[in-house]
Amino acid sequence: MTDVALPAARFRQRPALRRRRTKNAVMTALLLVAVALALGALAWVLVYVGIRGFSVISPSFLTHNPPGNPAAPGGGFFNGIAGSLIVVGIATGIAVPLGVGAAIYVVEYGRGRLRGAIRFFNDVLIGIPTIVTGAFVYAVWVTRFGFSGFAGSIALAVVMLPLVARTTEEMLRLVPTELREGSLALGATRSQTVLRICLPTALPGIITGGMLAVARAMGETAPLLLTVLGNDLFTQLNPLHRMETLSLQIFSNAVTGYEQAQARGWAGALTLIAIVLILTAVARFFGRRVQVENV
Amino acid sequence: MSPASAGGIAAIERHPLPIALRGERRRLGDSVFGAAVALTGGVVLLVLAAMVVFLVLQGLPAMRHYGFFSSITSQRWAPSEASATLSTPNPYGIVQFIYGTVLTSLIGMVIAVPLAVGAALVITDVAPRRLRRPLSSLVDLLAAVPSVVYGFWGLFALIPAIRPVVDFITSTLGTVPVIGVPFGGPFFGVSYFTAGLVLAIMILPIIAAVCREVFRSTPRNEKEAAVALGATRWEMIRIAVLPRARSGIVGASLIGLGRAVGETIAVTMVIGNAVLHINPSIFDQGATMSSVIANEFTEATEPFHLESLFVVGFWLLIVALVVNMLARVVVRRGVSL
Amino acid sequence: MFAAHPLPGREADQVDGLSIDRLSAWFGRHKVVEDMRLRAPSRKVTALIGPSGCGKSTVLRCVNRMHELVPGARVQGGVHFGGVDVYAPDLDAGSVRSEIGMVFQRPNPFPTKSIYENAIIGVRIARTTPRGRLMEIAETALSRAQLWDEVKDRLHKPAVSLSGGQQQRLCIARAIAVDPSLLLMDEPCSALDPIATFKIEELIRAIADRYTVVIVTHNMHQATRVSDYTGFMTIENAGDPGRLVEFGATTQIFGAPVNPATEAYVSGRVG
Repeated sequence: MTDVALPAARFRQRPALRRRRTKNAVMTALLLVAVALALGALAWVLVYVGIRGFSVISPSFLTHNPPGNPAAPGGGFFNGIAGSLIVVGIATGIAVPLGVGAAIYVVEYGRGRLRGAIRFFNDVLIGIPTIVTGAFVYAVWVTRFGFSGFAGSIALAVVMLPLVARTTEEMLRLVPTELREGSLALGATRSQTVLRICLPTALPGIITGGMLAVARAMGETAPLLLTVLGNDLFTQLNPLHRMETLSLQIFSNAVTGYEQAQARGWAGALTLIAIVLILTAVARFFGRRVQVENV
Repeated sequence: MSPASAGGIAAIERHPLPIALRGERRRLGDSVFGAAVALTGGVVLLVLAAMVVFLVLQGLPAMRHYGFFSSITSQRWAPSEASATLSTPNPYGIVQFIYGTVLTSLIGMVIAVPLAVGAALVITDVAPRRLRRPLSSLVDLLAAVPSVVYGFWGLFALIPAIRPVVDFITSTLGTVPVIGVPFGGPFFGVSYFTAGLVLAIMILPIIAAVCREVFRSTPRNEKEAAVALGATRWEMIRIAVLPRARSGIVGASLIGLGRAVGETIAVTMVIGNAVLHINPSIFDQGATMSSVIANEFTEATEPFHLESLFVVGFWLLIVALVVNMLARVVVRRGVSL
Repeated sequence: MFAAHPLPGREADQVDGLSIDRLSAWFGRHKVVEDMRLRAPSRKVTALIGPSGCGKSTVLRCVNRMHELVPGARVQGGVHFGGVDVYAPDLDAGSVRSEIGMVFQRPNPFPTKSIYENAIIGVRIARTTPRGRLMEIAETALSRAQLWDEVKDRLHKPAVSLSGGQQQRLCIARAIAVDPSLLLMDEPCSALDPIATFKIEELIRAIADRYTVVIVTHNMHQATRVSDYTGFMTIENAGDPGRLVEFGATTQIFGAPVNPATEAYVSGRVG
């Protein structure tokens, strides 16, 4: 670059431009590789489970229990699927009211330190290992009443509660203050305002959050190992007894050496992924206007 | 999520509107409702506190018998030694599980953090606008796949795929004296490394989701300042996006770490559950704090075995509490910078 | 190199300066600027005035190709600087922006970086300068931005520790340090108090002998104080694209405007 360069020349003579563009291209490529690897892993898992699962799955898989001899072919995971629905259903019944209540407290009622503490420790509770949750419920419940589907529901409720509370809190926060002021100014009480104005307004987001929590609970295995225990052989629909769940059944079949049992495991994994993905997709569809975080 | 932003009725009532004439009964119903939601809020705190208390209570006999810190200073875990009695029970040292948890989490983090940061940057700043949302949903989908499915897949799909690579490493780098020790063979498929790899895939979407929010909060005028100086996109990312996001990335990584530390079923399926001692090679079998609980819990009948598993659970809870509390503090500070 | 200013022989060059020809700009389907023509002579200060929403800032952002960064934004027409077509296909938008600096409405120093780092960040990423000369460049740029004396003892303090006016002068120094020929200023004083504004205006007059300056302002007094030439833009009805109504020497635009719309605006009857 010379001192007398005209702008025309200066434009093109900005040195190091080539190096900068190359670096930009290289870094952009690296970033794209990161996304490609993440999506590649996703595709690999889904396609692999899909291929192994579809070669086994059939309508009778969903309506029959495993054969008495694990080495025998055929049979299905009916007991596990039914068990999962019951255990997760009860857990949802416990977690949703508690989670929504906690969120109402944090957004509409709470003040000062307690409110801050509940928000903070709710986030912390999301990160607690679920195996620890399982051990906790074992200590509180199973040592007194034995292994049961209900014990598993309690454990899953502890897993779901903070997720429900978090999303509900975020949704309530999006309810415009003017709506509350309007309601209060008309002479409505706080509880009326919350129940008739805030909750209905936030409902789509709350449902989305709830469904994502259900999806998460459907796939949980570790805490159920310590509470529900599993029951591969027959159908047990009474949650006060040892039950089977889909996730436990996949686990136990996966780690046996029997090829036929593993084959059933793949079909089970496909079923579980289908349930979870459908729940997630429907939740996202309903909540597409609201950003729901679930981490 | 804005950290301290006051919302809701509580905020309005700090500047109360004159509301005339509330009836006694309405006020009663109102306070019952208020008390009820306060109680549910308290459940969160109660559950956490009860977790600590119950795990300590269950582990207490073992802690008393062996000494509070003895378990975390020994790596002899031998529940199946035959000679055990109540007065001379088997040894239950848990250092090898702590080692397994730290090592697998570390492997997971080393792989997942850069990939997650990269993926998040693509979603916020690189990809064409109309692809950003779908990309973001797809990466989120990685978090929706259940743990047991990852474990199953790891066992049957991932292990055969990585075996040639690992065999090559163990037969070359692994044979070098001293520095080759952590890479030594033989490779049985299930290993610390395999578990770390599966963990990486599982925590990637979690870290990416937090990073995405952090990057998205970069003010537009700072990005424009960089671009107006002639910065390329990467230079814009480096000078305007990343410096601000530093604590957010750390917090996101800590959240990922918290998940990695506690992840159980997938790890149990691909780590080999070798509980006896620390294996020096990352390609050898091992166990983590969570995997040993999952693996032995329902079969723990020897004296102090179950109690010792609760001791493991207690330490796992402590680690998870510390990591997660740190993470939330850092993330909140990072986002509201 | 940095000491190249002023470049001898450039005044004589007719193509040296900014010329905008038949420029139209859109946000999606919404046309915000139509048929804009303007010649901003070299090493003079040209002001663009007009009511808010008339497309002044968009014109500015078309000149350094920032407009195209907005999703759905489109540009038509020609922008030439120093005879170079800014939109030439073989020209990289990044090198256009290195040659044409920009100062924004609100001071936007990088908050995690020090005063010194902010001043030299553009040079740093351009990799044109050996590390040993960075301090020299920082001093020159900060001096020209009339900030050096205030910050020379605390160069390594965070940029956000400065006052708003100082931050804006730091942003000017940051733009100058890259060694541009043209400086675009988008209402640079709109977030500042009168004293800080006065300092910036003084600084604009002082740097006008080295740089071509185009400044967008909604403050007519500011235009009379700092500019040699003035262009007046307006929109006829809400939703219409902005057009240039009149362009001329600042003294003429404010003293004897030809167009009645200009007359109405500068005499304070509109806007």
